[in-house]
Amino acid sequence: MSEHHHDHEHEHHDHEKTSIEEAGGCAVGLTGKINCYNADAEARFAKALLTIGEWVQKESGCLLGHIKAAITLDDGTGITLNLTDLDNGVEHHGTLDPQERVNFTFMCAVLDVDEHELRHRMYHAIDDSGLDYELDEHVECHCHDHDHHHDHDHDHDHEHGHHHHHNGEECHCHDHEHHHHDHDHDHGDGHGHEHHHDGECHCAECEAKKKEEQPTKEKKSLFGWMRRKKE
Amino acid sequence: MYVYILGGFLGSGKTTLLMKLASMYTKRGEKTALLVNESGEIGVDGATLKAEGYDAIELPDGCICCSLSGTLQSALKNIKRDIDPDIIIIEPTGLALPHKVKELVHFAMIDEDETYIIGICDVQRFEDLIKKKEQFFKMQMSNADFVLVNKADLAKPGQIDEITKWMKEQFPNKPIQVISAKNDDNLDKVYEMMQ
Repeated sequence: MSEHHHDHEHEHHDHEKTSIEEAGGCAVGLTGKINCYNADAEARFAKALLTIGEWVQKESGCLLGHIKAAITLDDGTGITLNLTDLDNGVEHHGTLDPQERVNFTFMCAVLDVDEHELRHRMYHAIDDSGLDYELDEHVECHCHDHDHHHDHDHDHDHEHGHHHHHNGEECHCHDHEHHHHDHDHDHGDGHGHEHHHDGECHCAECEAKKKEEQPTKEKKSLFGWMRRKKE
Repeated sequence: MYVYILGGFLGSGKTTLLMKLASMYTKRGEKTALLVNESGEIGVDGATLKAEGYDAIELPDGCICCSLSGTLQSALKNIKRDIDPDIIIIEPTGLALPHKVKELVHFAMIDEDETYIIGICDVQRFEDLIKKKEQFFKMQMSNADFVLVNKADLAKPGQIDEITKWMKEQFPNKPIQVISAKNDDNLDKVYEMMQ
């Protein structure tokens, strides 16, 4: 036991920081397909980049890094979108005629934000853009240390707004992803939890209030118990 | 064979400069290989280069100065064996430390004549970068053979003077050149510096 503990300590001391850790940066990339691509889709994708840029700026104080996307045909030709400064806006390079289906890559490398939160925001930025899209990979959200994916207190009814999982099987949304945000917020205009399209905020504080108000609705599961314990 | 490493922070204009340099060397009839690294698992710079008509070797999903150091060395050996170019231009991620890349190039034993680091900084976000990550930025620039102050076309009055003053104070022995890679401003001077 003590040996095991010692080894861990040893490993910890041996870990040399990577340059990305040194800089306090993170990088996230997504790939997928867009159906019915046209100029409107390009504008919608550019809006998604801006949404992320604005979030990064709000979160870290300034946008240090870049947010990029490539929309390409199978032969690799296509357009790229690049955002490095919100004042300059999104730069568009290349041209691409309307297509039935195109590939996209969406990449962010920025400083001083949480990598998991960034990934999550990127899913939502695409999703909220109104694009007809699919992600290449099955998406699992590992944002938090409590496996929430299938133990939601909410049911997956039609009001549920997390449509970015196109496998149609699983919902990876969660009701407490903003626990690291400040909870002194009021739910007015400045409220930042806008991506829950059911119109409700699911932050820990709000969920706790809801539970208090509706104790009979509480789901008696192991994860629910763990969550309550955590809260 | 000469190797050039473009070292600079995220969004400083490395890819734009890479394309300009590649274009110049190709026009001169020099066989040029481009190696592009991005820290995310998904790369976009390769697509940018392809869209502009350049073929580049992409090394995504990690940083060539640390997690992909072995991959970089293998890639360099393959480039040497398969292409045997006159020039290799390496664009590491904006979060890489160029001097580490230079060491790895040396260890790859590709018989390069010389390896140079070109440091690039961005006028627009220089102030924010110094405020938040001064130490890291200094590490990026510390071993550069010369420094380019890029995006001069977007500079506000007095900004360029402030930046060059700071650079000269921090790195008194490094040549500094103000450019706009996008608009080709002063790129002829960069080519001269690279000779």
